[in-house]
Amino acid sequence: MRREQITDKQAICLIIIFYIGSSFILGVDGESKNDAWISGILGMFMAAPMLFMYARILSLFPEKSMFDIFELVFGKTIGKAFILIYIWYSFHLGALVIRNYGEFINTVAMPETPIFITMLVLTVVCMLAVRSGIEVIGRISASVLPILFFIITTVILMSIPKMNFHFIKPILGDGILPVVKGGFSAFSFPFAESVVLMGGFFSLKTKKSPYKVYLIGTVIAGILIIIITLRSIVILGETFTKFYFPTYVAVSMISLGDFIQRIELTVSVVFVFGVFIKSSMCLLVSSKGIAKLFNLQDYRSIVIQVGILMLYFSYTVYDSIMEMKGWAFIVYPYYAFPFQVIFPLIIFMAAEIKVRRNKKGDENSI
Amino acid sequence: MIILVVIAYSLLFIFEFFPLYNQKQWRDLWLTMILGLCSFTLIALLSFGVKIPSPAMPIKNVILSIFGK
Amino acid sequence: MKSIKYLILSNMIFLNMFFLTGCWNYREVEKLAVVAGVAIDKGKNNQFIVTTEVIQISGGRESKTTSTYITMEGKSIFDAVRNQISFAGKKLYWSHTKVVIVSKEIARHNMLSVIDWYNRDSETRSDVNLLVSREKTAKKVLEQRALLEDINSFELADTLKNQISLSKAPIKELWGFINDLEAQGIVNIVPAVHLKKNKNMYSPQIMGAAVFDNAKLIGFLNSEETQEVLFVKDEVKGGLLIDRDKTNGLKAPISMEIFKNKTKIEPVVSRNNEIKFNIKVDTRVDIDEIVGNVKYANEKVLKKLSNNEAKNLKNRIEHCIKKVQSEYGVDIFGFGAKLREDNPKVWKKVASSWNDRFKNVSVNVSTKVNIKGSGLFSEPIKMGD
Repeated sequence: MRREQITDKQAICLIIIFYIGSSFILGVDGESKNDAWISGILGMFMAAPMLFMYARILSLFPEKSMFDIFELVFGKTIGKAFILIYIWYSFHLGALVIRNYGEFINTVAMPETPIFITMLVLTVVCMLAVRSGIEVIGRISASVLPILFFIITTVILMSIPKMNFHFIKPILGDGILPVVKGGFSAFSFPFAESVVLMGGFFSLKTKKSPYKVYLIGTVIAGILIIIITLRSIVILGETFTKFYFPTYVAVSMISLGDFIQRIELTVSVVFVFGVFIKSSMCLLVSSKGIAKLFNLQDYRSIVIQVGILMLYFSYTVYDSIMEMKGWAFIVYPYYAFPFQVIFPLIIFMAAEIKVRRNKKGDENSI
Repeated sequence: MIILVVIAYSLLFIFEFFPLYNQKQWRDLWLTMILGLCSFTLIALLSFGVKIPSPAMPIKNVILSIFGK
Repeated sequence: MKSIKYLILSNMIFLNMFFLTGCWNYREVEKLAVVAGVAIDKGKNNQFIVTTEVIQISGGRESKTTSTYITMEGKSIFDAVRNQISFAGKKLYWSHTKVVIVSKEIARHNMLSVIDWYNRDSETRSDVNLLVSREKTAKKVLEQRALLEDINSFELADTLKNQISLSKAPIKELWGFINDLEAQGIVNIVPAVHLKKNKNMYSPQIMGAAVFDNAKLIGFLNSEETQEVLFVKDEVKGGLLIDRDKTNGLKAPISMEIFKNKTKIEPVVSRNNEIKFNIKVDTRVDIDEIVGNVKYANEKVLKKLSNNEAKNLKNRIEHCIKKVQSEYGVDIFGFGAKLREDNPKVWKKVASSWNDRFKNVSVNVSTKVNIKGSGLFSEPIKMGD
């Protein structure tokens, strides 16, 4: 079978959309109030070493996905355990993202539509995309990202008249602790979530490209997220943490000359694309993992079933939107920490040792 | 409700399982069957109004008991 | 086989056009009752009376928009709003609402009970204008016929929008009210509306402001005081300065139009934790009305005029601050918020006792009036005996 391949540019677009997917609308964190943008920067810097680690692991084993690497490094049994762990993580993450989408549409646009239907529609599209493979997802992101950029920048420009820059002050008014906490929250959501992408970036072209993709993608997406957070702060002030979807509310304040107003739907466009890419990647990775676990030739035959399971799971995972917000900002950072930091660290060290030993073995044999 | 579900699953059956059967990919077929059975039981339970426990709460409790907050 | 598949697929796509357009149900435009404005009053037994102005669009060649009023009571605001279905038969459509008028009584009692629903519900929009009625009921204000427009609420919203060239009432959108309510060191002022007789019918006039202590109304400011408050808050974008000083030897007051104003508040904390505020007002004006022989082309005269006006403004602002400190004792100027922004450490110490401190905080006002023009005339009109 032909190896699937995406260009670096497509991968960068994919990772950017992956990042801004749900954090664009949920906001970065609620703890540090009007210092949330500092938390964003902090989170980005905290994530940098992790991202280098992910990229290093990928570049040690070119053309292999996360799951292949597990088996190569740890052997069959322990490798299978790791595969199981990451199947669970990407499956859960995908379910959470689909749920975010459902809650957003349900709260903001269509309160009378059952949440199951909105999520079903999204999942069906995701299943189609994943069945078509990562190349298609990459191409979608590359062609959609310019539109999203256009929307985001025009909306930011249009919201300038509504900005009150004194809302930023006082900087670090409550001390540094809430900001660090917020930074931790921003680290785990969205930056370090890109650990999931390790399962999808088996298809990069060269050995160097994981570094390039992770670095450029994170920097661009990070700057975008920070700007968006700042925008919400300067428009809404400290109350922005009270809203479930601060970006949406901030944009709904825009009214230019009486005829450009009610443009908050543009935010939904960005959000829907972001969520689509993010949940597709999660679905792709978890079905790839399951396929690996049972030694299937191709993951495509199980995509639909995994997608349906993901949908049901996301339907049952929360009872209410209150629970969702509490979970996303309080529990999630701790819950995701092992998946994002501890396990990758173990894999990283094991992989380094393995590669060194292999090299020595090669030299000895010559 | 349950009728809709059954119709949807039979459609899935036709479009999913037969191609696999024809291609003689037995492993894929078995796995898909098992996953499909799981999802079918889930949706059947859901459509009968059974509340399926969510893992969100236990995870939350565990984490709060560790970090305390 | 393939053709059958295509047939089924195309059929499904066709059907999806009807069933999966994304919405569960639909509402048609003519079935909507579009709300233009709301007035909220207090009824008997702690009930709320909600009056909505609903737009009626009559079709035909000369389509005309008129409005009608629906009044309904309920145990809570939302209850009253939903009860209107039992009356009007249509579900109200909220996203074109322009004003919310709250009666004195409710504002005195607790504003939160009113604004929470409006801000929380996803069908309403939180960027509506908030008004406090000085009349007995808010309903009375809403139910007047508008002077120039067809729909009273829209006229009220227009009035507020054009306040920038009058500066005699603040502008407060609902979300801004909540923002200031939650913020530390600032309390809300909300534009006040009353009825004024004009051509033997009453029309609403927006002038002055209502002063809140947290969510409770505690008093009103008149239009002059409101302007002074706006000067301090740096919300003046236009309006007039009127020099009534008789010592100039002028028979009539001088009117100056404000084109630009910049106010800076600087909190100064001295070593023994004494807090002082420096307020610097810098205004750009044009002379627009002047009677008498004043040679304003002369630099000296011009300087005297502007100094005079600056002193006048300074006195007014100082007087206003004194009055607010002694009469209301709440920080409508946002001094505390400013202190918090610039000096969060000091603020933390004084935050709990800010209301008491505000009452005798000392303020240092310095004003500057720059006269940049005098309309089209370069010299005053002279009488040739």
